[in-house]
Amino acid sequence: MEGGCGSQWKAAGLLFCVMVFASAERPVFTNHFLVELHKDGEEEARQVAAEHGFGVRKLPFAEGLYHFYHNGLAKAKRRRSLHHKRQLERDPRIKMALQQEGFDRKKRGYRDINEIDINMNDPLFTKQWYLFNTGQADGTPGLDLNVAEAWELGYTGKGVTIGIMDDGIDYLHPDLAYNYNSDASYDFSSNDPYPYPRYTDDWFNSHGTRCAGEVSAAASNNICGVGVAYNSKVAGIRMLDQPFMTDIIEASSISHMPQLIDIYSASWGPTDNGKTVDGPRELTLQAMADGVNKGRGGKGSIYVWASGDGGSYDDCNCDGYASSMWTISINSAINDGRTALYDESCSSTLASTFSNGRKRNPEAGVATTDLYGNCTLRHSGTSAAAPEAAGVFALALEANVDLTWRDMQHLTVLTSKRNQLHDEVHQWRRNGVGLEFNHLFGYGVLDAGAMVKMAKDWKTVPERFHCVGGSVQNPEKIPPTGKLVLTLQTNACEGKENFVRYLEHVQAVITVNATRRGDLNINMTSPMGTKSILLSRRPRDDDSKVGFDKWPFMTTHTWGEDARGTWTLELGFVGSAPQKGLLKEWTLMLHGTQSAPYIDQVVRDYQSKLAMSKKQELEEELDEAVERSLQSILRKN
Amino acid sequence: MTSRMAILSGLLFWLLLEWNPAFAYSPRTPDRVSETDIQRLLHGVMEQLGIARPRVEYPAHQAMNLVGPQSIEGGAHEGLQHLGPFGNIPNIVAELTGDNIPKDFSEDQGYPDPPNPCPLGKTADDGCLENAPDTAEFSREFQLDQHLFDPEHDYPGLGKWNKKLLYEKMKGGQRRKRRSVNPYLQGKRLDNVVAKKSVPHFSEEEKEPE
Repeated sequence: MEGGCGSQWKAAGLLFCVMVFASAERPVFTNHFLVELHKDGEEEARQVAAEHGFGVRKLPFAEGLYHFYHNGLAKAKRRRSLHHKRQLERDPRIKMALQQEGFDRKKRGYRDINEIDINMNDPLFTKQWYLFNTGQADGTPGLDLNVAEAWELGYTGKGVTIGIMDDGIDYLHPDLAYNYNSDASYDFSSNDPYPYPRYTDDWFNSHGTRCAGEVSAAASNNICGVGVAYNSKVAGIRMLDQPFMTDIIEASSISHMPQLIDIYSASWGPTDNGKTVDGPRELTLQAMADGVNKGRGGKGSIYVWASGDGGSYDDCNCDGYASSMWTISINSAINDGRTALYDESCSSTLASTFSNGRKRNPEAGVATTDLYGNCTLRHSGTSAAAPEAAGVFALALEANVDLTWRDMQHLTVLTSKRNQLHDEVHQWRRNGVGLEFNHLFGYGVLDAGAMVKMAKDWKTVPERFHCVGGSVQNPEKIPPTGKLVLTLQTNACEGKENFVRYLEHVQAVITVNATRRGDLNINMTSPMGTKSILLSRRPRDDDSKVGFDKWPFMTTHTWGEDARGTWTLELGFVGSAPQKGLLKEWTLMLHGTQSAPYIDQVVRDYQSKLAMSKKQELEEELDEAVERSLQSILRKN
Repeated sequence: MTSRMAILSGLLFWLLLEWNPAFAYSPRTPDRVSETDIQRLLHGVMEQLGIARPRVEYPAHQAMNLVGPQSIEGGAHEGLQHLGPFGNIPNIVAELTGDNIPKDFSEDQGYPDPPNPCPLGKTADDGCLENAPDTAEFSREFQLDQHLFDPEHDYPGLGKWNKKLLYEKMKGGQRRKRRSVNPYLQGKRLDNVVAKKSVPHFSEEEKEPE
């Protein structure tokens, strides 16, 4: 029986091959027959099959039905094997014999580039592995943004404008000129409406042009490659190329035409030298809050931020732009699913896209447009990752123009995929409501196909509330060895107007001093047991004076969780020399909704994170209703 | 709006008085309905009606107390970039934003403005240059004509450049004759702001035979 089983599996495998390679146009007949016997019984079936030269397997799900397979027949043919069929049908013991037709089934995630219904004549399209990974430059096939699926559904970014806040755009570039939104563009570096890049001998100011091409390079025009949202418009905001940066330039850039620009992509932030702790200043902060409150007709500007290039020596939670709740901070993976060497990790990262930063092979880089009408294969860095995300969000906005800035974050959490991303240090874990996350990659790599499909039926998430979950204000010493462990009990403002039941962002606002700030480690664990690394070691940070002053460390890992219960904060030192420290404040800020955000959403894919979350929410809501009823009955008696 | 308010107050009234009969499956009696329950229900209703009070995001939820020079980056100092279409242009100098080299633009030097070619749909009437070629040569010549500095010669005043001095000059604004002062360069100044353009070099980078 065991041998029989083996051969059955082989047969099944062959059947699979048959299905995969068969053309869908004409029916294909396999060497498999469905046979019904007059008299049920495996012994009888085996005997009948043997007499006609077939192997046999009982179908466990039906009475009197058997699977006959014939190894002497061709695996797939265009005509029915009438001879065999007649032979079987003539047998008086057989009631019915049906030769199986082969269907065309595709294995998910692995498609041949010729198989997608998209013809791009752009010479670099086949090098754009981040759009369609067929294994170029030793990459992992299928590890890409899955934009082909979104394109096939008809979403290409029409009607969406993405602002590239950078060093300008070569808007005369033939691959960009027609997708350039000049009315939404501005040059803050030289104060005019034309953000054309400044020439330098080393062509240094090519960055904005490269980012713009990733988002909006035109398709099938025989020039360079194809943008993620190739029918979207791109606006140039030149703001990185002047003698010095000012708060006004930053604030003006991120609030430039918030009714015309839908998505802002940024690849700048505090210096990634591993010892800086900094963030947006007064005006910029005001402009950002204004953007999410009033941009896009009140639906909120979408800010996409590169998480940083500081590598393992830095932590993007020390970057107040990337760790802001209002920005979607994007990390990057390389073409085989590993992290780039410059990848900065932190708990505020929401998702990842692709870049290069490990491989020497030029084709492992990001292919896009370059300065003065050129093309390049070698765009790289975390800043190559942010525009890809901006492009995917443009596709989602085309699918549903009513998405708010928070909807976009919810969609990102629900549709990003672990795919084949891996990291040696940080494991993938599930949070309290089952959402899989990673400290480096957030909720995984963006999946444009899944995102547009979900965006299409998406109902705007319920109102958002802010709750101060509690605060520890007594100074506590952090020991040189071991850890300071603090707990905080919260009811998440239950009973008050601003009760937060379903979490979105959580901030731990911390004031702490240490004899060496870079040796400080901070972890926080939610009541549902999800541990976020709020701050990891930064060996180059030797600050001993400033510390962190009311610094909001943000985590996205507890998304969807119930905040009520005990939160734990652990502070400790890692490093060679013993250090001392003093925690002066820990305030827990909870942000999220009172009503379940996914309960009213339409589920199309029952394997999806949305399906799981919705089911969970229904169960929780039911449990809580039952509990309330019980309490009410108890009180009555 | 008034009719909506009427509906709402009616709802509230109904909520307080008629709760139990309407929700026969709920064991809660009107006096036992907690404030939370009412609020949650109210918010649900308001959301459905589309009149929920818009909750806003507050700047106070981010770090508000940052002082001192700001260190922002996103620029050239980050290390080697693959510049030019073939990646064969040497990285000459960390550019003006973001590096740590103090610069002083003296009289004959300055920070050049790039040309402003007309994008599709704009004409000279819009203040841009018509028919400007999209080439490095054109941009180079255009900027050289501003006589601000000579990009070929590696910034002669490199050693002397001093951001503080430059800042003061720009604030004064009178010494620049060729162009008006950019108002965006006024106000609070952020040091070391740079673009995260390129990947710093990490020694672990894989050495692949090329």
